[in-house]
Amino acid sequence: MSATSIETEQRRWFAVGQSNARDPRIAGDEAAAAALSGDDAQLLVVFCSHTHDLERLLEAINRRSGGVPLIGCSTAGEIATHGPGDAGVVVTALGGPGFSASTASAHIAADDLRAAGAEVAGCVAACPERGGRVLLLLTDGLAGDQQEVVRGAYSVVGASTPLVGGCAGDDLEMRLTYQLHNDRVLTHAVVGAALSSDGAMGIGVRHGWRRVGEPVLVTRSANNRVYTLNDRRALDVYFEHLDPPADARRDPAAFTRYALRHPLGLQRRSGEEHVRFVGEADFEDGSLGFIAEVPQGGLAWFMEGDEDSVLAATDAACTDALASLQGSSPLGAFAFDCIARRGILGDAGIAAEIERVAKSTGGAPVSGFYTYGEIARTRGQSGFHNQTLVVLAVA
Amino acid sequence: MPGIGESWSTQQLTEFVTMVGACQDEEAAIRDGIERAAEALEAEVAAVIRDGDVLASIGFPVSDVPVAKLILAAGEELPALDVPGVGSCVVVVAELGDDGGRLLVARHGQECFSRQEANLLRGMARVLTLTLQSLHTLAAERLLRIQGERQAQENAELLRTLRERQALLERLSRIQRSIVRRAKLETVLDTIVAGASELLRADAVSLRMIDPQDPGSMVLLAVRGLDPERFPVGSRAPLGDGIAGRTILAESLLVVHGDHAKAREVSVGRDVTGAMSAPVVENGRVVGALTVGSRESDRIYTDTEQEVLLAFAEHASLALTDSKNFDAAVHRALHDLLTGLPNRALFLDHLEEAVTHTGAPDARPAVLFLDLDGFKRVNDSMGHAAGDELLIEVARRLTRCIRPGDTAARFGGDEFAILLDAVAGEDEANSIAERVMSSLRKPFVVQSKEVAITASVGIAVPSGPGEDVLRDADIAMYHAKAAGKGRVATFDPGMHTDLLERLGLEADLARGVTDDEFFLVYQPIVSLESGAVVGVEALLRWRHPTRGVLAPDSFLATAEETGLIHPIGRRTLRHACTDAARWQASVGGAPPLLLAVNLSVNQLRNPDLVADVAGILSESGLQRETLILEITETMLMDDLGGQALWRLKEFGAQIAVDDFGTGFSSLQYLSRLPIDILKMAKPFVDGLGTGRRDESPLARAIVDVGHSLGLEVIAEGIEREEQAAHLHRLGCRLGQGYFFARPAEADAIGALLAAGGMTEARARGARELQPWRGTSSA
Repeated sequence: MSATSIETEQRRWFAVGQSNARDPRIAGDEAAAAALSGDDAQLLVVFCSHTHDLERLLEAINRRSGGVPLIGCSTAGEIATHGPGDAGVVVTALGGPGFSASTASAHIAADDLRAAGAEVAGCVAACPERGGRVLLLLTDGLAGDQQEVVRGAYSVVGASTPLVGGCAGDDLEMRLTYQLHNDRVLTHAVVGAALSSDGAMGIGVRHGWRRVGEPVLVTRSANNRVYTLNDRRALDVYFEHLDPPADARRDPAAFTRYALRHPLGLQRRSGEEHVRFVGEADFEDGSLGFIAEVPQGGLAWFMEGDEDSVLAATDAACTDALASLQGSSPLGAFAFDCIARRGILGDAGIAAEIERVAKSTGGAPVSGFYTYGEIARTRGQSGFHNQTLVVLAVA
Repeated sequence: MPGIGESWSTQQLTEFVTMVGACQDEEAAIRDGIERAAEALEAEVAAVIRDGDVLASIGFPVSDVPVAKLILAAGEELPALDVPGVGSCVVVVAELGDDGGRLLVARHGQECFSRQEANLLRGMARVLTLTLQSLHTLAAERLLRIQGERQAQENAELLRTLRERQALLERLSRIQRSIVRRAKLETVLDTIVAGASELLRADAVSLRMIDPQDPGSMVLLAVRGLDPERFPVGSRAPLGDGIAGRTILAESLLVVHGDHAKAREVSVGRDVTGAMSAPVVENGRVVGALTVGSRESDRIYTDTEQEVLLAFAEHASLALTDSKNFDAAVHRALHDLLTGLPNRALFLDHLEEAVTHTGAPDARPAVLFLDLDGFKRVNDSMGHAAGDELLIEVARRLTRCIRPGDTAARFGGDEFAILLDAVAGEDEANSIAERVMSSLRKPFVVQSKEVAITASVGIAVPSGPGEDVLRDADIAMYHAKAAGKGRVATFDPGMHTDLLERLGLEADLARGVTDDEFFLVYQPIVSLESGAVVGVEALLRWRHPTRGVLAPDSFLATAEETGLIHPIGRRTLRHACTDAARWQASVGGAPPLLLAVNLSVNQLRNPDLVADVAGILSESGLQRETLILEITETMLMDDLGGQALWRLKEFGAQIAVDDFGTGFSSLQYLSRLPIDILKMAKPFVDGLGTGRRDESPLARAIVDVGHSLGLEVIAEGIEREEQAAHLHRLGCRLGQGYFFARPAEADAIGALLAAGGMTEARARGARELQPWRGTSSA
């Protein structure tokens, strides 16, 4: 169990508690007790392993907090101030009269992710605007095109409120993720919290991948699958451009491991790319599967990265997030970090990464998780990312 | 746009056409249109403004859209738009058709939109306009189908006026169609010149382009109203000559009037009194000019006319720049992405053509409307990928069944249609339908499994002009489906009347839900041992304003089809739970009163059912273990039911099988599924107490099955004391029926329970309860 917290003279505080206890009741209670370091908590954000009995876990946290509004989700690894971990619980508490929060959740009915995003975004109306306001979104990344969640939320809040968050994980089992809202354990859902602070809030988004070779044209795609690139089977083109080892050309599992480090970048106006994780390949029809839409007719690049480029992106994301605080020190930060980056960095690398994040926040507490997709809408209206690190600094 | 290839905007436009073309209604097309436009231009704000109103916007909180500012910005009366959360945004606007509608996009920062971006937005606006127009026609067509003939005529009238007002749009879409139909570029450009000539009352029109081989000169590509001797197509003039040349150099619309025109004009002849010329663009560069001139005295070109010329010039640009890409994109927009078949829009186009050009009576067009039976089952049980695979194979087989000249189309979901170009009569249409049916009867192999499906087919052959043959085929298909799956039906006008009746019932039901015309009656469930009331079954009734009180059998099927079963079902459950919770609280005692509520097929399939039940239970305070959910045997055999039942069971509710013995339950299912109670159907009770020797083996068997599986048995429809006694002897503990009490409204049941339930004396009282009139024996 560990805890870190920071309180300001403006009477806002941000604290993170963590527990690796096996019993969900003990883990929930320990992490919540450590996070609830101040009075007047406004919001709890919980990141935890799907292996816990989540009903029990929530019961313990809520018993300890007395029912402070809560959102959370299952993960592919949790992040706390003192480093990353697995099979644990990280509870973040934000409190004091300088913060306000309101929460909501929505079941993704009939695969209508857009409607769920819009419904959850309704909670922003109940959260008065202060110095800064964001809408935190935690979603089921296995449920379809996540950009639709962002579109739905954007259609309600517009550009006035940045959207930030990530897709829940299940330790790469890719079967079922959980979303948490107050005392309820949800599946196939979106949960959200509107958070306002008297201080500023800043968002940094970086991925750290670089283009390989010539661009390719997406000539046929539908329903999150790309069938052809340059009018040829997408998988053949992928192999040609990247030349993966033999096992990745035969074995779907080996392919997915390789593809984690070799995503697709979609062209944008600014020349920057939106990274899309290649989730799997169909060796029969030669198509590639994604967890978000890859529009037909667009230009794309294959991409690669290494430890150095990924860590450089970490520093840049933190710098960007802090720059938006206009000189104030952060009270704390959230990190939504793609599981694929974890794949590149390895256990030692992610420990180094979180150390860098903590250092850049000047010792302020950090919490977050390894995600199946990241949300950060600050410019334009596209806000769903893959294989990216999103940092939210809160002052 | 640095770093981006020239193909960027055509790709974006292609994507836009694909996305917007897939929309099913105008609202969705506008919404998707502004979102895609904003995404393509990486902008924060997009909006459609028409008739002084904001039809749709993104970028502002939904509760706080600055309507007035957006209207000003759309009229280009605001230099910049201030957007909360973003700051000052630059604005770009494109016109939507010719009725004053505008598509606006605004982006953070000072950097203006590039010309390429502005061109792209104009292209998007054009596509959106055409899509909206065709959706509008479709919506009107749909409306015609739903409403009666009278309404149909009114709507047709409305459409006609609309069409007259939109002559320009028509003309432009004709040009676009000529682009789509892969007409030669010269033909397209000629159509543009002819359109400009007609709509702008021009005496002379010319289209000149910079010669790619000799950039210092212009070539005449298309012309109207000029002496062909002096101005042959292909003739050259130095770049910069006349108003056309100046327009190319100035890269903007130019207008000249009066003597000024006479003195300097060469592009459309020296005798014109007024002329104007608009630039034609290819890949963002001005490469030519479209020029019109008039010989009328004092001809002044109005602002509107200048805009019309710009629209024609833009179409020339489109034809030049994007013809190939646009062609492909529009082709995609007119075809179903999954199967590659024509979609509804293209089918309607072909149909219209076929009907208009109907020749001899023995060569009339006919429409087959197909709906797959059992497709949903494949989709639900094997997944969408399997469903897609099946649809692709169905499309392949349909294509093999039709003749050259016929059209097979997919309308979406599992709906297909075939246009038979010319048939001798219904018999020939029927024989093709049979061929289709027999090709679909062969098993499909989907994901290495054999899958059998059938189709219901409706046929319509128009007997005269003005018939809505597609609607008729659709109606016939419904009849085929209603008559049992895998059938063919040919339209006759009586079907239309039936449909109107059913639509009437649907409308009544929808109103019934809104006006809360549904109510509950309750029938006590009684201990056969003591006569005490142990529970009640809630029964749904509809107080129809003209038809009186209706039992579910007269409206349940329609409620299921329309989905209205969900609000009705939820309300039923909520009322019943609230009533029962009140009775539990006021009567008290142990064990608490049971409440039985019937579930329908679609309710059981609804993934939100458990959450609904949970919400209603916690709202009402009813003890969860006292709730009995009744399902039929057929629902029991439904695989989906299994999952739902386990979830309901885990949640604590009890499950009863209603009308047990009349369906086809297998005992294996009974033992495997979480069943608590069997309700013995009335026919088995009817035979009891008659004094005949062989009266009870079936009733006894049901009681024995129940007991051996550890289930409670409730006998339904007990009408006589001997039946109750007999059932009791067989070991059946609970029963309901007129002998104990008829269904009665909540107040009467409340009073009965308050008076202490139903001891033998009370049981007699209950029998005298004012029965609800018109109830069939429960």
